[in-house]
Amino acid sequence: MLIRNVYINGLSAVSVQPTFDESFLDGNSKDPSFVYIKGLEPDYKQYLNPTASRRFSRLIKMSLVAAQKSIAMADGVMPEAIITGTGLGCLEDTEKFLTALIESNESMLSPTAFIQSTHNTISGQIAMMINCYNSNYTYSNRYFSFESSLLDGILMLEDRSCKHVLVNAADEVIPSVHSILKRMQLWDRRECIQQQASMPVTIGEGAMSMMISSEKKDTSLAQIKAYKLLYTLPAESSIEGQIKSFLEEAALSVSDIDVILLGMNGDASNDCYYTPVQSLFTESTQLVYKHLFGESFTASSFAYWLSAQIIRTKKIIPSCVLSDKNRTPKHMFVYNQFRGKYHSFCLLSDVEV
Amino acid sequence: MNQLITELKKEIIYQLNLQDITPESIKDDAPLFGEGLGLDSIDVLELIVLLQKKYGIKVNGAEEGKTVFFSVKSMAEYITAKQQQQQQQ
Amino acid sequence: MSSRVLITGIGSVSSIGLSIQELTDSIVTSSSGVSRKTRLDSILARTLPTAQIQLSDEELKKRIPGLSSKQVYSRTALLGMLAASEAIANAGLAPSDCNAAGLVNSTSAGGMDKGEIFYADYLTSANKGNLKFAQTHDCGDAAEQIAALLHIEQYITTISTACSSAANAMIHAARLIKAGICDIVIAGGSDAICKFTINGFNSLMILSDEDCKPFDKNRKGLNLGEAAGYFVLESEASVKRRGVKPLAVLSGYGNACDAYHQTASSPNGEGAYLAMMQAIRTSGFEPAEIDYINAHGTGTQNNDLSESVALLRIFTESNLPPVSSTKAMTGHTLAAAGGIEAVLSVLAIQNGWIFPNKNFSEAIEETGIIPVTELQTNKSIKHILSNSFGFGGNNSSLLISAC
Repeated sequence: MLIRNVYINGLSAVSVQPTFDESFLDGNSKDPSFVYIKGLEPDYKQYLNPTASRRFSRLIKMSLVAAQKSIAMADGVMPEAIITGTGLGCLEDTEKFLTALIESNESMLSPTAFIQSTHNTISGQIAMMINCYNSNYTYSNRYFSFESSLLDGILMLEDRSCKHVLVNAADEVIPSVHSILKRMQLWDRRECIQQQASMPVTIGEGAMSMMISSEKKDTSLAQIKAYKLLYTLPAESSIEGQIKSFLEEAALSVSDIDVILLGMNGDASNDCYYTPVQSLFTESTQLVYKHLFGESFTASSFAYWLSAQIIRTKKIIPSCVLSDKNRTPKHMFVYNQFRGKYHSFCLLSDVEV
Repeated sequence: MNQLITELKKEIIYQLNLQDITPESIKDDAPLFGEGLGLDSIDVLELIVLLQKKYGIKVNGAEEGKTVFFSVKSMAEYITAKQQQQQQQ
Repeated sequence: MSSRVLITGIGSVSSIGLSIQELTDSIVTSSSGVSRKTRLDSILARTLPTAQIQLSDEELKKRIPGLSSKQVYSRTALLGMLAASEAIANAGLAPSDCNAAGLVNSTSAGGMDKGEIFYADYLTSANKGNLKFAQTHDCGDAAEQIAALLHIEQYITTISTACSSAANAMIHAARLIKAGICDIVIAGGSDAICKFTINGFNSLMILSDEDCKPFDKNRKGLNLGEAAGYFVLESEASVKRRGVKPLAVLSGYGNACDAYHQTASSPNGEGAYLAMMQAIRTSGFEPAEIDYINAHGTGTQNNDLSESVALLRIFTESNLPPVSSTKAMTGHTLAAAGGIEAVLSVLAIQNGWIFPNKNFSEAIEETGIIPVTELQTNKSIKHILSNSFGFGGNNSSLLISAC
């Protein structure tokens, strides 16, 4: 869909890279091959009330600090909706309750882990943190978890029922789920994305928060000009054709796109779907990010963090480059999919003066 | 009784993950909820499980819990009374 | 162009009927699905009343043509596929209509029924446990299964906002239609009962050891149930193109956050009040035009009082339309509750019904609301408010109207 007025006015992320302090943008990056990112989490005491946060798992804390910072960047506006996408939800608490249930044979279970295990805990806690009585949603649908959240937020701004919507993504890794996913040969496959040979892709986690608004401000980072989700490609259509018509709707052609950011993850059965897209954008600088951020159901949310930052700073991050065409990033095309399904297209652009 | 009170304070801090609070800083008869330690209804449920697991004492629902868990002292008194009842039976 | 969101198909599976026809029959006899019978292998389910669908996964699977015998399906997916298929047949959708349709599913437990079996094996050794079971665990799996069965290709998503999930799925679907992203959306919710949820609610001490009594002074808690309720929602242009007659209109909706407590509702029912007000406001109708309120009414101390307070804030005692909770018949079916209750709302409009709030005898002292206790027939029902409130203070309200 073509979008009239959607601006990114606040943005923050806790990830396996130093994104929360934004030093990642200055070239500071970490080897992502270690997981469970304790080292990159901020000192929560600086941000969260200890009485309120004593029950919170890592995921909830990461989400709350990211939301807090993103709201602050947007001048502290009260969002008219809080929407969170999470693929697997609050795993730590789910496991805690499930283990207790199995080990105690359904007796004398304490409720805290159960309460925290529900998917909408994150959105609910953000609302409680800022006393927000407005709409509150949680999406959990694999590789569309964050994408549906963003789509719903955009719809709310475009139908003018809201002016500010806080859109979040959150997923955590716990050791057991990591080992199960390895058995499924999913995500942590340690394969490299093309020539990024030194960085095999592993599993990722973290929280991303973005305040999207219909109000343009001097401090707006970027604007979302077009957005489209497609679960599967319609028969007799090609990805190239879909992308071209997506851009045409925004009165742009492939050659207008300065930078593309692709969700390749090193898995050949997945990355083959990006090949025609790479061939389409021959004049654009091509970037990837999952070798740095890892793969997960909401890993793509970091592509939005990254592209908005690239548009704002006009700086390409060298460790993300697949091929550089030395173009100033004014229009960016962000594309993610998983093994031929869950296609998401986003056109992010400079804020027009 | 004093030993039980000290033990309960440690258990409460551990079970409810009360960071930065020491057993000494909890007064025996100060309210645990609201203005006192700032505990809430989820903590009542946690304390009910604690009593059941650690002392084998069953509290019937959150309503009874509110009086039992008014303070550490009231908890200790309740446990002592229940234990005496059980011994008599 | 008018942007009404029309309901053209409904489907449901619950403890009081595996189809709309069976559900209708149960309503006529005011039957309840709450019983001591359990299919779920759980100590708690053997001691507490629940509203379970008394068919095994294999029996459910046999009722859905086209499923692979080798594939593992979560019970949530099976219930969802059964009800969504019925909604599509009811709407008379052709396969090509489905290709271009969207699916907005919702669930809270997802495939936990299989996930908990997997995890018990996994706990004994990290290389144990059937991975096919683990693969159904996440919320998105059921949506993928429903989409595969019904050939939905354009867009799928899943909402998981606890007990307001299905109502929120309808809201997202309505936005997709109004924005012109989809002409047809299949929306609804499904939740199978599992050990995780029954133990979770038990740890909150809000399960009743008797049949639940919504809005009764002596209510002791809720009875868990399992169900699926689905809709075909359509734009006016699509209805015209297909030449079908809509069943009802989704005329208003609201979602608000109580921002009070992780599980409890606020004493003044703020979130519930805001959600209902928003539903009424977006519909353009007046509170006085509402003919019936299908309340959330779980039978817990907290919800029923808070919801009553919110109802009185909007309607006042003398202007309160007939109210009832149908959860004494269906149990509390969590994510599916908003779906099955919206299905019931459509049936109420079609048949001129107001449903009984079973097991009620004495009003809550503070609010004095007396719900409808017997099935009322031959009523003129034009506008129904259907409430669904969930954990985390997630409150939703739908306004369903006659065409």
